[in-house]
Amino acid sequence: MRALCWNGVNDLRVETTPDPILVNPGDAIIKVGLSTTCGSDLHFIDGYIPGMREGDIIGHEFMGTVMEVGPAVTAIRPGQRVVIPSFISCGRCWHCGRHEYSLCDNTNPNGHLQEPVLGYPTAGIYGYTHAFGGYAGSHADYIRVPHADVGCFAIPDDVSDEDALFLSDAGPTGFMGADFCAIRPGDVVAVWGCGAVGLMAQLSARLLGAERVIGIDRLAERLAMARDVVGSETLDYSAVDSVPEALRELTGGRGPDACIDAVGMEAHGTGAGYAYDRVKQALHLHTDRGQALREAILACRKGGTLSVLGVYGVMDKFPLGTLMNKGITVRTAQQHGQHYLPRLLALAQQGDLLPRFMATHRMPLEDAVRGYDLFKHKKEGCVRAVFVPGA
Amino acid sequence: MHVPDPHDSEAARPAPIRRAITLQASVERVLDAWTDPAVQSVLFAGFADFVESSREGSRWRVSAPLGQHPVVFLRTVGQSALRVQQDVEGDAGVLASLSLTARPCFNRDGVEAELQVRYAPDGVVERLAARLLDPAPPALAGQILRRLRAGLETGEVPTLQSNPAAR
Repeated sequence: MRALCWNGVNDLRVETTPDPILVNPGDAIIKVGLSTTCGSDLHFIDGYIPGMREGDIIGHEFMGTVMEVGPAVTAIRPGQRVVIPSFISCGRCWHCGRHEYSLCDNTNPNGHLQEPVLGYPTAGIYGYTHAFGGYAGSHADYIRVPHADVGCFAIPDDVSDEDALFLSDAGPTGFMGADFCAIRPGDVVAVWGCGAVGLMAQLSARLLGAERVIGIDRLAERLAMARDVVGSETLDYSAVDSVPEALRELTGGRGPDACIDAVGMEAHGTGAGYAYDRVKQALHLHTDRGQALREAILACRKGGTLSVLGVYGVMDKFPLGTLMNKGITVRTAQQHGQHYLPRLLALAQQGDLLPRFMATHRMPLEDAVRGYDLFKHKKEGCVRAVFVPGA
Repeated sequence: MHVPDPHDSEAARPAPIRRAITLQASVERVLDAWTDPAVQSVLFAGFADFVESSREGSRWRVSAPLGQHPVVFLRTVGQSALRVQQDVEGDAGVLASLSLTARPCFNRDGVEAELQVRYAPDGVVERLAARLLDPAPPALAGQILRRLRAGLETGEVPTLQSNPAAR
């Protein structure tokens, strides 16, 4: 089969690989219909997150058609269209029992690689470093899905491939981020980032009852998308001296009730703080540029909630004292997609959550290297590049 | 750095490797699985290959550092309702002693299983070789326990067998 493979820092190539096969009784083989780029891919593509090996197939946000199932699979059948959350979960461990699917105990064969850094291993992910399992990713013709009864969700006939695609990762991540805010009537929610996850977080916050949603970015086309498609108020951080001060004035001096960081470790910014992060990251003295996160901590009202969706590694200059003195509740996790997907599919059926507008660029898998270039450098207004295997 | 008194033979022994795990299975299932050669083959995959079993125990070919593949004998030397004790025997005698204890969790669901490994390489070369094990013995013990949990909780163990890649 053909697949997009990592071959070194900033070295992606579409290559021919073996097809996946059924290994465990609970496996399914999926013919990938659509697979999309994600901002978190850039962290290992750029070399900030280690743990990739030459030839690894990447991609973790996808939908497709069931081709083959193992003998223990009962919930899906060949021929069905399915969407699959990025995290692989067994559905039976203590964490899955609590709907903490990205914390699954039983799906990471390389847990010993995570223990020194995280303390305890988390679930495996498709196409995202050997520390997270080393599983082949979805930018390919086919993919093996372990624990398919838990990982595959049938797509209703009236939900399009493009809408279902983003319910694999950006949708549940954004929705979870808004869910973490415990939104109450009258709440103001500020979201750093108008990429796919940020847009989904903004839309979700509105669906969950936020009175006002403010999207923060610097790119005109993304701010326009937040305003015109999602209905958010917007704030261009490059046009203000201080985002926390601007938010304070926008909220009657109190600050947003909840702040969602949908930016992560490769935040852009301005000023001395950003320059400091940039230099340290370039020298590999820390992995993170934390400007967005620090702003969110400062901007959040006293007693409010900080919801962190961005992927981070190691950061210094973290304002823990600010969090503590303001009594801020922090909630964070990798997405628990299996928990949210039934609800998200229902919202898509109702027409309330239709993320297809984020598929700004669609191309054959063979053009995937160009797709990542567009996505990484935000060229041509790219929000997400969507790959079509076999096209 | 602690330097054990060479005259105190107990203090001179290396501290045992201890790893614990909580799993959703009965004590009986945990101990039965632990002593089943078919399950052991899965637990030890990548570190040791099954050779044969007998009434006294089972024989394994170990993937050791420096390209060595010694054959060792895993003998059950003690078993109770809550614990299994085993010795790993090589040509020169007992190389390691294993003990798996399983007990119901107190006031919460599940069973706690604790694996203790007394592993005492003699000599400078053997100690150096032990350092080359990948993963290191404590991490290896954790890996084995996680595989045990996955097998008992889900009926399968996470694997990268036949994982497609361009290499």
